[in-house]
Amino acid sequence: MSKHLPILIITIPLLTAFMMPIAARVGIRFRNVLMLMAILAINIMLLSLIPEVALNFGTIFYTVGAPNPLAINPEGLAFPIRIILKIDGFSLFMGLISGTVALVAFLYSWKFIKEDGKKTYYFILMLLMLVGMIGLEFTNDLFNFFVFMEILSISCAALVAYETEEKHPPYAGYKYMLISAIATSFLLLGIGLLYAQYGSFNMDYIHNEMNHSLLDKMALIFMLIPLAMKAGAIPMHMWVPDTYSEAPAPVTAMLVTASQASLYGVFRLSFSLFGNPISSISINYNSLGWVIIILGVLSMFVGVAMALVQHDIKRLMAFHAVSQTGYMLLGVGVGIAVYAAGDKGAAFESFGKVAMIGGIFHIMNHAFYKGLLFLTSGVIVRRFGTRNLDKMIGLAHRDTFTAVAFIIGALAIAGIPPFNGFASKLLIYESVYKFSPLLSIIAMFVSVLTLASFVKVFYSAFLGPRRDDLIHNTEPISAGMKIGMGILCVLVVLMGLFPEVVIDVLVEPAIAGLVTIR
Amino acid sequence: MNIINFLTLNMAGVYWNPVLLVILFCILLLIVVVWGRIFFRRDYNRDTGQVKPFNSGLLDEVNYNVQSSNLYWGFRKALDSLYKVMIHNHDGDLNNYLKWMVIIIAACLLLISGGLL
Amino acid sequence: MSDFFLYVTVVLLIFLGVVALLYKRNLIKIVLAINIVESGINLFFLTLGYRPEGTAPIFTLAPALSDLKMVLPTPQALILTNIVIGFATSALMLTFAILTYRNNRTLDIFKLRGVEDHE
Repeated sequence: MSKHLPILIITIPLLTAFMMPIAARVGIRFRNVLMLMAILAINIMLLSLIPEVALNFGTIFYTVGAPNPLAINPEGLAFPIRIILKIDGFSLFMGLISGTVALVAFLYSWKFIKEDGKKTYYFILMLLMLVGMIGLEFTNDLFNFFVFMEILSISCAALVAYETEEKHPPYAGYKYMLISAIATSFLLLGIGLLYAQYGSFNMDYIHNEMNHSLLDKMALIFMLIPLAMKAGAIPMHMWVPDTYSEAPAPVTAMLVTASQASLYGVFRLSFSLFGNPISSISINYNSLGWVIIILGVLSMFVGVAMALVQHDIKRLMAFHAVSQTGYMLLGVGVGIAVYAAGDKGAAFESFGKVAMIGGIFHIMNHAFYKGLLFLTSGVIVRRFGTRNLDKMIGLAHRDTFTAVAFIIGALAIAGIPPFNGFASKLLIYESVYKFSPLLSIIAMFVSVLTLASFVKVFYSAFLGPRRDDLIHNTEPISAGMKIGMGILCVLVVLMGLFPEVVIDVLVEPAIAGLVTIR
Repeated sequence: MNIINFLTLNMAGVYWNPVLLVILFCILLLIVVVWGRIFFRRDYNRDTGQVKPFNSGLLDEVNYNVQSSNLYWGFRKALDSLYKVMIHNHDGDLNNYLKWMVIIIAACLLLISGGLL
Repeated sequence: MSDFFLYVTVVLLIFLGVVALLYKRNLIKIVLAINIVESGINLFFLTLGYRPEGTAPIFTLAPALSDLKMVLPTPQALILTNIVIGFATSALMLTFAILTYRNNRTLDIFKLRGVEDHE
């Protein structure tokens, strides 16, 4: 049983998704309990992989369909012929994030989404989104990566357009599907270029056989830039605020994780597929690093400058998602720019690795506090019936739990100690300062503006006199919503109080999985 | 000292121990609250007009709120030329989404063929 | 030599699709442009799998082992997968176009901004 764990993590939500309509016939409660058990099973299985993969710095290879799945080349050939799944530290790290946010989003949407005949399809699409994300993060095969990315895009686009009676959500779903279709088409062009040269889709085989000719660098660009567009980097980020604001609140929390799965693709391609720092003919890491750094710095600044002047609460938070993605790109970009081996690798050992640790730790922190902020914005929008900040006032008199959760999320995103945003931002500031002081100063200035915009949201939504004539919806928050927001609050506070434990257990194996200096 | 070393973040010029900070903050909070309750709040009467916000002498209730869109007016006016360009680009035009991706791919392909990347 | 013209056709198809995506304003024309781009990518995979004087990659009733030359079968499987994905994508996007028209009475992307003005 435990040797088939990698494929079970992908298959169990898939089978549950297809059993959902039959379960809904049996009863509504049966369907809800079945989905809860499926998502809990996924999380438990992911947590059980931690001792082998993370604490021992190991890697699990799983060949799909072979008689002995755990051997690397089961038929004894020199050329891999089946689809191989590979779980190393970075894949498990992203898988844990996806599983946790999926559990919280499901608990939140237990009572938040109304039962009107479409809710079964909502749960099916949420399970398919989880399958797409985890399959994308666990695979070692380029075409499999493309197929899982399509599964993820189609289910995300359908969930964005969930409220089909309103004016704007179907158009937002159309925009999301358009962006994903173009991104995956260009990705397939890059994969085709690599296949035509090496005859295989396996990432490890291509890594060993790679001679970095002009055609390979073109393939890298065709694969990297559309994935950066799906992750929300400047200047291809304009779809992010339009789509994140029209989706229902728990779906937006999972869309953040879906964008981070594309960011996983960017890092996996530039390190594990094209990475060979001691070869003399490889790509120029300094230039690739600077391209990613420039994308990151522009994302940070434009994201937060646009977020300061928004009237719409979810559009404001979506611009902050773009801005925080810039932090991750900046951290890992500095790591790439000084990535070298041997005696030229002193800079990498001293501060490049710490920058990468900060960037990758920021991925987990961002998923948790941004998910918390979107969930609280769901409560705010449901109460006032509008997303306009000018028409909101005085919610803290009624909903104290939501106000406390919002304060925790807002302080975490601004980088205030002792929450988890501060730990990863401190690592990024210190190491980027050693690389170039100007970038670190821009990052700190962006952090100040982030705090300013969240003070604006807290001021208009929560503070002020109590006005019951503006409240449209007076039913109390259900237990599922409180448990969901509570789990994320507890995780934000605990990861802020014990960052060293999280870095040792989860982030260091992730770095070891990416950076293999041969 | 081993448990303190275990709980701090110590790499590349960073030294950060959150547990000690929280303990210090709680001790300071305790001191301030206890001292405040003993020595202050002698002239604080709840349920009088003292708790209402200052209204320049008008006696009836008005809407005290400044609209949140006007909070950062100075910042926006200072960077007005930048904001005009940025807001014009974020209008929701589908053609612009792909125009920028094509521009960035073309720029990177030029960098590759120029030998820089 | 005949491969060259096929690759030129691939480039022309992708270029045509991307130009149509950048300049067309109707939602349904954008869906058609995405289909053109996907057709170009499918033709690319088909061309790279071709071996000169190769037969279909089927072992039943194949020629003798000494002069057995087949085209690559894996790209053909990928093309089938990509066609199905393109079909699902087009179906979803056309459904969204129908819903948008039903709610907004227009299919023009300049009128469908979806973003309210700032001041």
